[in-house]
Amino acid sequence: MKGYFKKNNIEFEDIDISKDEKQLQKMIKDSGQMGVPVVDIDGEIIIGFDKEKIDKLLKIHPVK
Amino acid sequence: MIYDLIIIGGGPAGITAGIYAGRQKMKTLLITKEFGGQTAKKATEVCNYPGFERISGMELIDKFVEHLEKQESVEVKFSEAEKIEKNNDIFTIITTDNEKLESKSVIIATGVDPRPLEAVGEKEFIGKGISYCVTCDGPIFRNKTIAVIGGGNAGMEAALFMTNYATKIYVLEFGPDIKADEINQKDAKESGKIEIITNAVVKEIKGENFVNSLVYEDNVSKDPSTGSGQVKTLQVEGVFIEIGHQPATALAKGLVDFTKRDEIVVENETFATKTPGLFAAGDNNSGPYKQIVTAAGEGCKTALAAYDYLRKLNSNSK
Repeated sequence: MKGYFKKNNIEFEDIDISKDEKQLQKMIKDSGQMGVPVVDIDGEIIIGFDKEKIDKLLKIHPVK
Repeated sequence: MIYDLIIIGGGPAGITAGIYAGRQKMKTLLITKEFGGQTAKKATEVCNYPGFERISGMELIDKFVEHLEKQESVEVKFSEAEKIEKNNDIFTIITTDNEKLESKSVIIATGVDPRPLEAVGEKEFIGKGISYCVTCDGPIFRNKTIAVIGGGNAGMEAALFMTNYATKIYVLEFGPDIKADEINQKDAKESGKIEIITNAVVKEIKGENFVNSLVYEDNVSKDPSTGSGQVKTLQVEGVFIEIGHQPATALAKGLVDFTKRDEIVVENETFATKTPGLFAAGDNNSGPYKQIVTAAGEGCKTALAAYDYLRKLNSNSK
């Protein structure tokens, strides 16, 4: 997923929840679940690499 | 647009096939939901890939992907293939978004999916305490008590990985013995955090919003007259299921033969299926020894075999 953001020139903050207990708890609270990855795009929480949702929110048009 | 080759899958087999196809300048599309497959999800530590004495599966995959991205004739599409059809030498791959992609040859490198436990509550709590991916979700269970289901190498290695995070780890094995290698069993014993329970049949995973307990039946105490044993409960907040895999091969139905275990039957020199131009590389085919290096090797062979197939196809059509 990080590769996908880089490929599309999307700036992002990479939070490693294995090293940050506070952010881990925030992720569980915000997403209502315990799996990774989770993406927060302007307050919209996306669980897993849901490309369709991510493309829609970031207005990414699939590059050929 | 008709591709020379479509590769389905982004694990070691699919990525290697992509690198070889790129070097042969084949117009290639690689379709995958994400990169890494079981190598990224399960391989906590890889110690048998030549050139790397010790590397995590995720790091190894990052290196593979970097290499793949250098291939100019290979495009990557993050999607999921659902069905393959063939008409007059042209394959059509239909994705879950109902997109239709055409190619002259296809490599199926879809690998395997984790085998579900089929216990009550399993589906309900996926992502809410139940996980099939220790390297992805393990760190979330820091300072918690968890259970790993399965006493083979995968289960024991998952439990050993979790000793870095969890306070207590139960390993539940259905059979009377632990099948994991001696060294894994010894490390588990020495960790002081792992408790092994054999003859344990998991019945239910319970919780409210998240998992809080696991119910199992103790087969040792089974009463022959009633057929049921003592039912016990463990207070756990996480459950990792490590009871094996099933080949992800349903998409090839109609074009290939399957083994009893749903693996794709391949000819063992080029990994060709019974349909000309259709190949299967990696954990999803009928070959033995499911390793990262064998998957990569099969990816290489299938890409080169697809190249030869295309040359013959083109010379026949001239």
